[in-house]
Amino acid sequence: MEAEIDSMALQPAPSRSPVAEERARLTEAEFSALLDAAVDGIVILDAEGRIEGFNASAERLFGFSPDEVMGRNVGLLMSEACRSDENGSLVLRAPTRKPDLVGSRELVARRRDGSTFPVELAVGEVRSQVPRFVGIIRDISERKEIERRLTQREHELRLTIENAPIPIATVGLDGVVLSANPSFCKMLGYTQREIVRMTFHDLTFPDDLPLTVTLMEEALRGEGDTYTYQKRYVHKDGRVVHVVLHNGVVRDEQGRPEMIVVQVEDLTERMKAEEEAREHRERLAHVDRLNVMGEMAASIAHEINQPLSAIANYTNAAYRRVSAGRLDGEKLSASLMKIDEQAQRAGEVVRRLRNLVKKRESQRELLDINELVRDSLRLAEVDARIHDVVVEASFTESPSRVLADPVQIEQVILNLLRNAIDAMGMVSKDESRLMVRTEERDNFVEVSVCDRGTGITKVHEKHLFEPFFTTKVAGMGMGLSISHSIVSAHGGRFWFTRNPERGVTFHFSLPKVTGWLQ
Amino acid sequence: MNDSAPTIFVVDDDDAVRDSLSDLIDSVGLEVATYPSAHEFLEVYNNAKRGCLVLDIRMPGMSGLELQERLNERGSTLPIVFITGHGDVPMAVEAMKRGAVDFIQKPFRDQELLDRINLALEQNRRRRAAEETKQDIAERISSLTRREREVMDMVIQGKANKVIAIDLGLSQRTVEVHRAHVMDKMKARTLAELVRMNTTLER
Repeated sequence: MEAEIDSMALQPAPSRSPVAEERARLTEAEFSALLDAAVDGIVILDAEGRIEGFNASAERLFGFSPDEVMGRNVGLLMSEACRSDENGSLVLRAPTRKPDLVGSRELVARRRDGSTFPVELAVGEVRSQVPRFVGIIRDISERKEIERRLTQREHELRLTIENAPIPIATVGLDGVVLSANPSFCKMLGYTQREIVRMTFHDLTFPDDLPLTVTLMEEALRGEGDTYTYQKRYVHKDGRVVHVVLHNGVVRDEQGRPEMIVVQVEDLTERMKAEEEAREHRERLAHVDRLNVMGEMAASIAHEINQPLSAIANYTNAAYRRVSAGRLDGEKLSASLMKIDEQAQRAGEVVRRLRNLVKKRESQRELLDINELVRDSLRLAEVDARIHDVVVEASFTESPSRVLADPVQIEQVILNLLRNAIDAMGMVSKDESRLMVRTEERDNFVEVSVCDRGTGITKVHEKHLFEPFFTTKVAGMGMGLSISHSIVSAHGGRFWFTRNPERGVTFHFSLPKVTGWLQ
Repeated sequence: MNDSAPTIFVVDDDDAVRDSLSDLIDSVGLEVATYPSAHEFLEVYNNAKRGCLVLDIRMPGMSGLELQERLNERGSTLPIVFITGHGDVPMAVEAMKRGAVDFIQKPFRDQELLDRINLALEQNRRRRAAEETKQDIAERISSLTRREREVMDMVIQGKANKVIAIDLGLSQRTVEVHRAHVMDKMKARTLAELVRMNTTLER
């Protein structure tokens, strides 16, 4: 072999030996077979760009027969546009032998019928004395179509995500936000530029991080491509954002996870609506409760008043007769019988009342008194606003726990607030101030409601906690008496003090819960 | 009619309250009649009856306020003391506007009720007396002759006998005779008394 190479190197090319000639001919036959068998169109050009060879695939591609194209410029096979652009003109000006002519490029070709189609053209130079070029032409219509569709799809997708009302983001496996749509940015208060540098650790409410990490790891291990869960983000301004996440794991061809697509359901509005609905329901229930109580109290008052009035009348009639010396024994015993009858009747009303109260068993729960006071203040808010009363509150720093019936204690607090607001009905606007305070004293939690109202006279003081005693025009006289008995039933104390300046402060205390119950 | 004792009419649907009120009123020696409903009271009542009405403001069927309205329609002058329960103050105020004498809230002291009843009776008595006086004067006036009436009217206007004589075309002496008859028939001792009678009638 080495000798042969040497001899070839020594001998000039044109003077071929017969063997070499034969070899060259065989090669040419092979070449011709190769041309016709090739799937791609092959065109052979001379230095002037004229077509010298045109294989079967080229015939099929362009619809020309070899006779029709032989000797004509290759421009015949190109679209108008391509003939003038640089790639096309390079081909046309093949003779200049520009080195960059060789290589592959995409062009638009033209068929015999004038229709055009995209092709990839690879040009090779045949190194011989007469320079020639070989062009291999591949129809890339299909690939172009796929590319076009892909581009379109991508555009559609980008548009969809950018304009989506729901927040969407992609997150890398390291937790870094790769992309986020405007809704996502708006939800958390960041700009797109700010957010792509952040990780979900920065965005997630700290308590929800372990859950986030666990679920992500599970999903990446291949336990399901999509997963949904509820969690909390933190807005740039620090507020908590409640969301439901619909996550999808994007994997490569080998099934290795690449990133996570996050779609977010923002629960803020829904939770706000639910919260409002709940508050509304509670307020209604409360008003309802008060109404029922009021009606009940009114009817009880009436029912007890009737026999009491009768007893008083009989007694006084008898007394007057005795005083005037006009009462005989028979008349007296008749009166006494009637009095007894009415006393029994009153007793019956009280018995019925007791049964009624018994129906609602007291429900004791472990509560933070501060929460209860806050709830009550919310309920009394409207009332205070209507009467131009400024409400101030101060609470114990840590939760003060008591074992109590929330409905009953709330009723007590509301009652005191109501009384305080009423007491300041005559007080000038800027003086109308109400102070609610929770404190811990020894083993008790104390709630006090301080007003700057008209105060309590010594005469009224004696009857303050008696049922049906009231100084209000439309009062039932039940509030303080019921409150007093509720607090007593809870093992607490209920009292009032006069403020040094003006008004009074009502207090009640409940036993503080400490130790194991906490 | 004048000599019959006034009656306290009690209308209350509660048997015990009604009976005990009756007992109480009876114990101070007042006439009392009880009715369990407004209808039953209306059936027997007429404007000639004297006394006062003790009325429960809240009753099934016809309420106290409705009964008051019916009595007003009939032109009754019977004074009414309303008995109200807790929270009936707005109703009581309405009753007062329509002419009730008073109202008393249950539970009440017996003396309070009796005081109000006495007040009502006193008012009824005075009213009746005033009406009787009016009727009396009207009767006296109707006993005057036409000429005597003319003379009386002019006397009340303050005209002297001489002026009256000229105005009526009579002799002064005749006017003096008419005037004496007027004073006699009207049972008036002085001119002032005659004037007062006239203003009483005009009221």
